[in-house]
Amino acid sequence: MERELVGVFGLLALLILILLRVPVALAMLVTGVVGSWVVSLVSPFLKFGPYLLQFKTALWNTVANYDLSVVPLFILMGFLAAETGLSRDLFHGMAALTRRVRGGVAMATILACAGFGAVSGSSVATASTMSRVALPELRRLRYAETLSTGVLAAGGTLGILIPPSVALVIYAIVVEASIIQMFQAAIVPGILAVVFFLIAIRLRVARDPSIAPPAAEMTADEISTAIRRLLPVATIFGTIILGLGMGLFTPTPAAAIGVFLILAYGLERRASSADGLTWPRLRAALLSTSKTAAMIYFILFSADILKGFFARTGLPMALSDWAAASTLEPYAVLLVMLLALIALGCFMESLSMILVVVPFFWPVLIELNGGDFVSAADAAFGMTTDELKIWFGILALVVVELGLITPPVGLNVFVIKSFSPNTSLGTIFRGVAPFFAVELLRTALLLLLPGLCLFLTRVL
Amino acid sequence: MPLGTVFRRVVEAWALLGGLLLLAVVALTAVNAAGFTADVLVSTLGADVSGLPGYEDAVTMFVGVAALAMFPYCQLHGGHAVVDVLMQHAPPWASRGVAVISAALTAALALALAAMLAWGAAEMRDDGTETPVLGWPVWVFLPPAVLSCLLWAGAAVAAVAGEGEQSDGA
Repeated sequence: MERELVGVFGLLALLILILLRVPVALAMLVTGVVGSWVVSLVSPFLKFGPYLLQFKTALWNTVANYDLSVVPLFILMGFLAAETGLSRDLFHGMAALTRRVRGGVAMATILACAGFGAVSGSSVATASTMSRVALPELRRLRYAETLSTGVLAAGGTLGILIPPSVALVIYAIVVEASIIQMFQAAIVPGILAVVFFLIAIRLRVARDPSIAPPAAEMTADEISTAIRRLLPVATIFGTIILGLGMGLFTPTPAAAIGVFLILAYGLERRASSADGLTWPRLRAALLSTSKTAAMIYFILFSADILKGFFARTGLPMALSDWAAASTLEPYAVLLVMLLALIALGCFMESLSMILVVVPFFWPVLIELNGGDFVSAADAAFGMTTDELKIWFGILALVVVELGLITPPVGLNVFVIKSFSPNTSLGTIFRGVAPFFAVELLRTALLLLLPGLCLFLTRVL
Repeated sequence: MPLGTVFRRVVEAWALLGGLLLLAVVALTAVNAAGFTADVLVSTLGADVSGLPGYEDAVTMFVGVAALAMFPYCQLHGGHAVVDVLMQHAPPWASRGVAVISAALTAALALALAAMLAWGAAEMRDDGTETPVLGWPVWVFLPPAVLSCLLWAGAAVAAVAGEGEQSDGA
């Protein structure tokens, strides 16, 4: 019991360090190392000296990992897409398609966020890039601030789920699920999110048309140019998704080919216009990639060390034993886990949250479902362990998305605030509220109808 | 030129080298994918074209070096995720205190990791550890990793000494 207590105190220490504004990865690493030392004092057979020897290769093993090499490549793809003008083309193309609908530019913003989220895989990158592109246009058309900023904060969340997504890749690696099946499972929930957001805009504009004045007329030439420029985006996205879906590529080559296509697109834009890829833009994309990729790799390394500490305490095992012996209603436990993820998502960075929490939740869910090798017919959730991994992963990422727009500290809201310093946080949160409501509805649907996530993995 | 500026430029150049290594991975992948596509096309004629042998080995090693080269730049530019909920209401001296302690801890850990990696590299050289397909000696890729950790430690100190930027709050 002493060792498990060390684990509980370790968890508390981690939360305190994070709240004290110690970088999340550093807090995880310090907790892991110091905690392991304390465990060696409580249980002398778990010696600290041999434990330290793992650091001869631990960092290298994290970064030199073929499965994880997809991470910096997807990040580079997103930053290149932002620097080469792809995001602007995407937005103008969508705006041309939705020009006849009242509130069409807000809808175009959601569609462009979905498209950009697909190539960037990051919610914060999607929110910041699309803010730069869409906010000036929404302002020029005199859209209400609540609608403009709310649409951007909510649209940004699409990046985390719409495949290919870095968060999906990392979750799949943590629980040893198939990355391609995770991508397949995320497609329907991603489309549902877009549809629900569009419905939320339609209802808001129908109730108060003054928040979305009609857009200016476009000439036939402007429309055809804008729609034509959507083709490269569709080609890049289609190549990645179809290549993955049809088994032509594994995730790392898919990401590298995505980077290659965007580089080619940027060079073509450079040749035909003043836009496109230049050395300063490539340099900016490479440096931004450095910042984000190193942040993620440091978290992954620290999470591995932290996981080792918790394993030494026996806490995850104790939790799964408790779950196996309990008579708790599985769905009630799952609901509590999702609520905990929403609550944590209010203040914790999403990737580290998944890495810290999933190793605790996952063994409990397996036991509640009926054990590792249970058949779908006998399982509490009516699915095998492999399907449970996928379903829970999608649910977890959906509620993490919710955390990004949950008051008082939804990260995306602060990203939008940095682009619109004169808009109050209250205004942005009011703007986000309808999207928050439809997100709750979507989560409930995915919870009640697991087939929405699992359908494509079963037929493809 | 002040020492701080020189250090900043070294860290930036090191990160850019890491980025260019990623672009090399992209080029490798393009050649590999072209090989596979050509194989599909010519297989109907009974011929075959192979992809790059040991592609995964090369990608793994290159991305390993590239990823670690990015750590110092991220540290210097406050790229690590932090949670601002509580400390945004704290007095400046408290925030500064946490930043200094965090930087000192990061620098110490980065130095310790550099030493352990150097030890690991020496062991890999003695053991003759090689990549599975290409048979490249793995230790060859570790000196740049050790250098990255040393720069990382320097970046932690430089960032808190005022050469870097504020962390991105969450």
